Parts: sequence; structure tokens; C-alpha cells
Amino acid sequence: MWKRILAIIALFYLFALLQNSFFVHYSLLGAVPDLVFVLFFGLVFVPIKNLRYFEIGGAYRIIFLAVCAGFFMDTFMYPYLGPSIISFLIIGFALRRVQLVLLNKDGRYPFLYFLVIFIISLLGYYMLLGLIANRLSPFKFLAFFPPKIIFCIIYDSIFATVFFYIYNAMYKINFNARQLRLFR
Amino acid sequence: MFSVPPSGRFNHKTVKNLENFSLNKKSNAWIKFLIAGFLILFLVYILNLSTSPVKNYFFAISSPIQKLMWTAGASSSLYFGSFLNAGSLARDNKYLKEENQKMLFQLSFLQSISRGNQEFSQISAVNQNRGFDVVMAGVIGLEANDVLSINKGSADGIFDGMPVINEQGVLFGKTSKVYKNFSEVILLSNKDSIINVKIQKYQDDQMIPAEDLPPEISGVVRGRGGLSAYMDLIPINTDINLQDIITTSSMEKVFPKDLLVGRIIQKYADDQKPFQQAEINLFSDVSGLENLFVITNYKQAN
Repeated sequence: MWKRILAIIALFYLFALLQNSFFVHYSLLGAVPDLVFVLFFGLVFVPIKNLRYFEIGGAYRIIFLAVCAGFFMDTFMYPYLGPSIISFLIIGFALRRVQLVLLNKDGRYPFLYFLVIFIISLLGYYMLLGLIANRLSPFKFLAFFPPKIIFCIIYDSIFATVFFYIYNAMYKINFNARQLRLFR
Repeated sequence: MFSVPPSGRFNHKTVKNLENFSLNKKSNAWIKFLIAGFLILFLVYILNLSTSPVKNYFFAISSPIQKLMWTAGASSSLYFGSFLNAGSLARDNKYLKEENQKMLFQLSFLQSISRGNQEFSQISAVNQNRGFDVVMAGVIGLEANDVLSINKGSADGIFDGMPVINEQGVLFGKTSKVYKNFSEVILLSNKDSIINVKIQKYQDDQMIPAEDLPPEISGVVRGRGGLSAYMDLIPINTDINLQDIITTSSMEKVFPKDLLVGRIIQKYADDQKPFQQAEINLFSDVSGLENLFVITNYKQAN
């Protein structure tokens, strides 16, 4: 377990450095991929078998991921420490709640749900960041929105897709049991 | 405590005990949740009290890796970019040749002016230079909201509000948060950046002679984020052209005048408004950027 914890911390650190220094030169019309957010979202979204929301392993896992990801994000990307940590905490718990609501035995199109929830979470993250960094001023919730948000979403979605399929292939997780059947 | 009766049936007392146990379990979970939330907020508070040493420590240990990644990203993006932009290379080459010829013409024209006004030029040059001291800093990262990180800080004589340029005299921005071993530079494209500028006029690809120069057209350059900016507060009755060069003006207190800022690529004029705007292309390009120079004594000289 400790190896996994250290590996996750190292991954967040590496992704923060890549986002801050390497992918700056591969910006898409000014949009730089949010690799730390992609990794955080992917690690929270991936279901843990037989692990319910209020179990210690579930909530504490989200807290650990949020603190880790938020700390590196704030250190390398933003002037203050804390807004990303709090934003990730809110996003993480909201995401798990959404997943519980969507819980069903049968389901289809798991990638589509992943992508839609990812985009909504990304927008929610930027809004929370703007609110928290500006002391909950309602007029500033768009302050951290990238100017070309659509390119940001597209760019981040590409990396999220790559993460989704790599993780799926590595651990052969069956997502079908946890998705709502919308298309019959 | 919750023993099952021999009959296998639960009496009222047992049911009540079970309900209380369930409620206690839920309230315990909420209590743990609240304690965890409080601890996290406390952690955030402590982190914010020690933001400078924490960030300085992480940037100090990450600086070599960041520098390596920055250089790798710059060189690899140039390599891949050459494949993607092959079609525009010929066009860019032609444009650069024309620019070169224009510059040569202006150089010869300026030389003739300087011969005629040598003393005046010398005084202007001395005033402009004023013996600026610069500190060279390596670029290590680009943060959100168009803030650049450089690997020099207060230990190297850098303080808040110092102008940052490159070797060609292109203005990039100014230092904002300065730590012991690294600093943050607010770029001109940052949403909070506003600087006073003026427009250098060109006419028919030739520089206008000194006696025919129109009054200086002033305005401000505002950052829009995403490494882009625009020019605002241009008087509506002034005539601006595409490709006009924008430089810092003498009204600007933070930055020296006549530093290159950008070029006009599109203009927006509405007769109902007192000012017009223009879309600009900043000369301060971060891709491929290795080093910047911080002017450390401009404010003192000013």
C-alpha cells in the first residue's frame, strides 16, 4: 500500500512539472493540458470493487488524492496554496456521489459517461477555483476560466481519453456494472 | 449488546437498539467527516502561512528538472512544428526577406538623421540607456494566468516590479512575487496587466520622415490571458494601420520607453464609442524562450 501511495505522489509531482514546463510548448491556441486534474479525476472515477462511499477507504482515498493533487497544482500553477486542494475535495466527493446515483447493474457506453462527467467536473473546478481564490466573490467565479475554454476542454479530454483506455487496459476494469442505462 | 432472542424474533427493545446503532454509525461518519474537513482547512491555513518557503523549496529542488523539461519541450516542439508548418515556411521566408529590406532602408534613413543630429541622438541614447543593470535568468515554467517562472530571486538582487525583457529589447512583463531563489513574472498577456504604449507609424512600407511624423498615438495594452492581448483606449479619430509597431511610451512608469511590445493585426472601430480597439500580436513569444533579462535599476534611475 505504501508503494502505491508513493507512486501516486510521484505521479502527481511529475505531471505537475510536465504541465508547467514541457507542455507549455505544445499549447493549443493558448490552452495547456491540465494533466494533474486529468490524473486526479481518473483515479477518483475508477471504481474500487466493493468499496462504498462512506467506507474509510473511499472517503480517505479521495481526501488523500485531493490534498496531493491540489498541493502540487497550487505550488506550480497558482500563487496561493489551498484553492486547488479545496476545489479537488469538493469535486472528488461530488463525483463519488454522482457515481453512486448512477449506480446500476446494467449499463452501456461507459466512456461517454466518463467524458461527460469529466467535462462537467473540469468546468466546475475552474469555477470553484475562481470563487475560492477570490474569497467567494460571486462576480469572480469566471476569473480562472481560460480565455479559450473550448480548446482547454478539447485538449484535456484527449489526455483524459488516453488515461481512460490505458487504465482500462492495465486493470481490465468492467465499468458496465456502474452505469445508468439511458439508451435501451 | 445485540443478542438475537432464542425465538428468532426481535422485540421492540432490540429493534430500537438496532435503530440507535444505525444512527450512531451515521453520526460517527459525519463526525469523522467534519473532523477531517477541519483538519484539512487547518492544513491549508498552515500552508498559506508558509507559502514562500514551501514554494521556494519545491522550486529550488525542481528547478533543474523543470529547466530540462522546458528545454526539451522547446526543442521538440520546434522539431515537430517544422513538419506541421512546412506549408507556411515559404510564406514566412518571403515575409522575413521583405522585413529585412524594410529594416535596411530604415537603418540607412536613421543613419542620415543621426549624422545630422548627432549630438541630439547621443543625448537621447544616454538618457535611454542610463546604464541599466540586468540580471539574466533562465525560464523554467509557465503557470496559469500567464505567469512565467524564472530561476533567479531576491538572492540575486531581484525585487518586485522590475521590468523583464529579452536580448532584443522585447518587453515580456514585470516581476511580481519574488522568492529567495526564483521569481514570478507577470506577462503582458496576463488579465491584470495594463501598460501605456504608443504606435510607431509606417506608411507604404517606409518609415515616415521625421518632419512628417503625426502626433504620437497612445493607448494601453491589456492582457486577455491565453498568451494574447489587445490594445485599447486608442482615440477614435486617429488612423491606425495593420502591422503598426507598438512600443512602451514615456507615460509608463514601470517600464522604460521604446521597448518593443507587439504589432497590430486587426482593428475594431465603433463611431458610437470614444475609443477604438485593436487586436495585437505580442512579440513576447514564450515558445523556444530560454533566458530573460531583469532590469534591476530602472526605477532607481527614474
